[in-house]
Amino acid sequence: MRSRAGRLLPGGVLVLLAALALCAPIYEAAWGIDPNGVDLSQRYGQPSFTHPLGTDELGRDLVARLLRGGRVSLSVGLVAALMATAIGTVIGLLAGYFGGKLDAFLMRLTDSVIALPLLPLLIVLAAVDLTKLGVPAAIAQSEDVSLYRIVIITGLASWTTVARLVRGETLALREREFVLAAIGQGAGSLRVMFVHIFPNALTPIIVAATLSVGNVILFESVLSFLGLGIQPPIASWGNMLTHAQETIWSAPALAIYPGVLILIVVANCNLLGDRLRDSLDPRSAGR
Amino acid sequence: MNGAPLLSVEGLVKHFPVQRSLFRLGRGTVVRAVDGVSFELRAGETLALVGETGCGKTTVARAAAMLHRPTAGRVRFRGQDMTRLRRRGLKAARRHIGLIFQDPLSSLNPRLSVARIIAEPLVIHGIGSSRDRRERALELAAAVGIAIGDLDRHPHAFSGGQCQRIAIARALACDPALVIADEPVSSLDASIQSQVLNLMIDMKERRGLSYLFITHDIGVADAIADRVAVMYAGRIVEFGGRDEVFHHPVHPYTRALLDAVPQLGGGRGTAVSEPGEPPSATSLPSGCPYHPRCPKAQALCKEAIPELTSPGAKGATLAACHFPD
Amino acid sequence: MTRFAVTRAIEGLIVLLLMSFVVYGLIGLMPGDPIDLMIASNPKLTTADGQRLRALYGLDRPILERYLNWLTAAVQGDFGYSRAFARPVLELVGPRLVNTLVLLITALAVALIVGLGAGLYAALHPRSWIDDLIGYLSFISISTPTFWLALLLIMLFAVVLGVLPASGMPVGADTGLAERLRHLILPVATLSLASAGGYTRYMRAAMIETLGQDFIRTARSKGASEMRIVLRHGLRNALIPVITVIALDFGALFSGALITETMFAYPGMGKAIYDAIMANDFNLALVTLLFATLTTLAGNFAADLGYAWLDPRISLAAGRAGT
Ligand SMILES: Nc1ncnc2c1ncn2[C@@H]1O[C@H](COP(=O)(O)OP(=O)(O)O)[C@@H](O)[C@H]1O
Ligand code: SF4
Ligand SMILES: [Mg+2]
Repeated sequence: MRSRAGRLLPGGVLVLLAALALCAPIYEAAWGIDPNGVDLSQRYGQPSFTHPLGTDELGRDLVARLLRGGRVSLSVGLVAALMATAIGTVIGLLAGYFGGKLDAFLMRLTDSVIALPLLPLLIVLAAVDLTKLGVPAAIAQSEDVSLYRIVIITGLASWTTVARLVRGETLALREREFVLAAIGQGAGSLRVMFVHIFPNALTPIIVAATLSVGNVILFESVLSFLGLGIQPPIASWGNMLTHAQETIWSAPALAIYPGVLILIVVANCNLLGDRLRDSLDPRSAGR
Repeated sequence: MNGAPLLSVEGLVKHFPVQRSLFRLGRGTVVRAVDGVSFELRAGETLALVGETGCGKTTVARAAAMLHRPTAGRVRFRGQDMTRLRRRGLKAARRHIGLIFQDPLSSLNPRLSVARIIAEPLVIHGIGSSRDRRERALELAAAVGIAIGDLDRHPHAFSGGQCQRIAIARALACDPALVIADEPVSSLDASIQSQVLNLMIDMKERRGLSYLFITHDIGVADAIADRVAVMYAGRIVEFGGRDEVFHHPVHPYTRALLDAVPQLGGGRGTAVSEPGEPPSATSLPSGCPYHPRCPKAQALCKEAIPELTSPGAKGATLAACHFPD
Repeated sequence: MTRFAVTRAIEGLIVLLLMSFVVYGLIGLMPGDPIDLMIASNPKLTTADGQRLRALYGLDRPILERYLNWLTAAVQGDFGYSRAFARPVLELVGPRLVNTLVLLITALAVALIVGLGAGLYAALHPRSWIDDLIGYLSFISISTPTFWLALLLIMLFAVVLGVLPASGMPVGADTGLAERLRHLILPVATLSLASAGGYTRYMRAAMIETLGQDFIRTARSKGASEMRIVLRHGLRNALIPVITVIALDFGALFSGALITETMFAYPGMGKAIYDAIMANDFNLALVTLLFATLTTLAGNFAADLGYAWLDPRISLAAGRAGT
């Protein structure tokens, strides 16, 4: 596992899963399946040729649901992690570059957010009625809005690690001579931060971003599981488990597959992040 | 041009707080890195700032470039008080000041191509079109001896000496009046040192530059300086023409430094060092900071800090000593 | 030390106050409207009555004013009534807070024993097969969704084996201890398994780093016994970073508790928060959320004091600001 191929294995697993999820429409066309097609005569169907993994509590094809759910979970994870990384990067850059009171304030803020019980707060955020914020009812009640909402909410919950990390990098880079040279030449703060500091902090940022993809997917899955995330009929691995507690008796497979997929994706994100970090920092004793 | 100095530093003080914590503001000790430094740099001359490691040279250089806000004192560039300039004014002034640092590799952004590094000052000050800037970068590269074909490579592809040439090209991009160079050759091999030093002398002559040249190497200072300021424990202890300071020192510390150097102009092994430890910048001795090491120290030296003044007969040299030679 | 404790306590209060405002605002944005709900449940009330009620409760005032009114009442101990339970909110919070603390503290203790123990063992036997096994298990622990882990445990112990209850922890104080303990086993197992992996990883990394440092080598060269080196010098120093991380993880621990309580219908704060939000029980949601924040801040604070106790040399302020 310490070979180069071994190092990249987690990345390969993720790419493969993403490719499979992208292939959902091909599978559906080939099998002639509608992923959202409810067929109450086919509830809890056993695996068969028409439904390779059987059907769920509404008679929908499980493979199609898993692929569609993967699309949603992976893209939410990716987009929200990007958002979290962007927020964390900006906060970390500002805190590390300007220092002083701004730094003290931003880091207190970050520490406080880390200390908060995030999930309960995310639940409140997920429950917020968008029409009360002036969002037109037509948009607030549309199907896709749950997607955007979950991206924003989970992104808001995951920026703190990146912020601390970028701040640390910025503090170190700010003393480097090429940064001083840029300042001394008259470069403005934005230029120094984004041309000189940010690109040189990029590798650790990528590590943190990778780790936060896993984190976001965990948040998304639990919120969707609780009925506050991705709203049915859109499938996500989390909301496919919503009824698992009741159907554990009759259809344990329905509770197993989505959970295993979440575990695989999150574990591989964490592994990939760890491997990247180790290869950047040979001192690091972590696995 | 001869009248007003190009750069004048007046009563510069820079203290670093040792422990800056959220809850203990105001307490804690400070490092007195620079403790009242004044000098003038005339247009067209090279002033060398020499002294042992830790005496505050880098801090002076950075404060002169406004990379540090001075704790007290003024930095005037072309008569303008830089410590009072706001963003815009400071940016405008910086256009005319080039900077060169000690560590050649660390002073170049590893993510940028050499062409972009050299042209960056032009971009910052909005000079020329991007094609003009590219052309100018080619010109500068040629002038400092970097092959044009190498311009799109990144700094790690170059040796230390080449990196320092690139840094020089960047410092000259906006045709500065003043170049502040902090130990520009100290981390280079001896043979490369003289090449780079010669390049700098050459550039100065061709472009009418002035250098504030920091070094801990008396041999290097001797090779490039017109005038010399010797620093000890955050202060200037002797200031004067190169030949006077190096051949007729009046301050006991300068004398000790020169005695430690085998032969001047040897190029090799002329780094400043002297038996005994320099004082800790967090707890300077009372009176003349040199008195614990000074062979001529007397009771007065422990009590009163000597001012930098002319010791009388010796002409233009200034020294901070109660009992100069 | 006292000064530090006071400063941190004040900071904690500020965070709590800010949180109360944010949460107050957010709760107001949840679906439904308390007056509409009243009107709906009482056919005698008209829209005009609604307006009057609105004015009576001050709901037509600006948010800041409403918040300050709420805060004034709250400071005097009046947190309002729970709509769903028709009881004063504070009465409901008490026993649930106790249940949650029981769950949190037990699970934390188990997770720390398991996690720190496994991490220590792995650090002392690096690259052995047990180290590898511990590594994989801790990886699975941090990557498994807590709610799914709960599902698996329910499936195994309650459904297949049928040995443990999956839910129905009694609320009253009159239930026997043994029955309470039986109901605690699966929730505690879930929450501690979910947290132990992280602690294992931190402990292993910190211990390996510490054992590589100079003072350990010095102790070795002086012939100190291996046991003494590990316990006296290594552990104490390794625990310092670990405690910081655990402190930072308190919020996550509470989030885990919410999931666990919801999954096992365990009557604690987490389940109360979830139920209150789902039932539009504004007062209860607000108060339970604030108590949840208070709990994690207190945990954080305790860990900070532990940190200070372990390493009196390090200036607390500098240590935290600098990391
Ligand atoms: N950013 C800083 N923070 C704290 N102390 C500093 C800082 N920069 C320099 N110092 C201290 O100030 C003194 C002078 O340093 P410096 O100006 O770098 O000396 P030199 O360049 O002559 O070697 C040294 O004691 C150094 O440790
Ligand atoms: S003032 Fe006194 S101690 Fe200082 S250099 Fe002169 S003689 Fe020596
Ligand atoms: Mg220096």
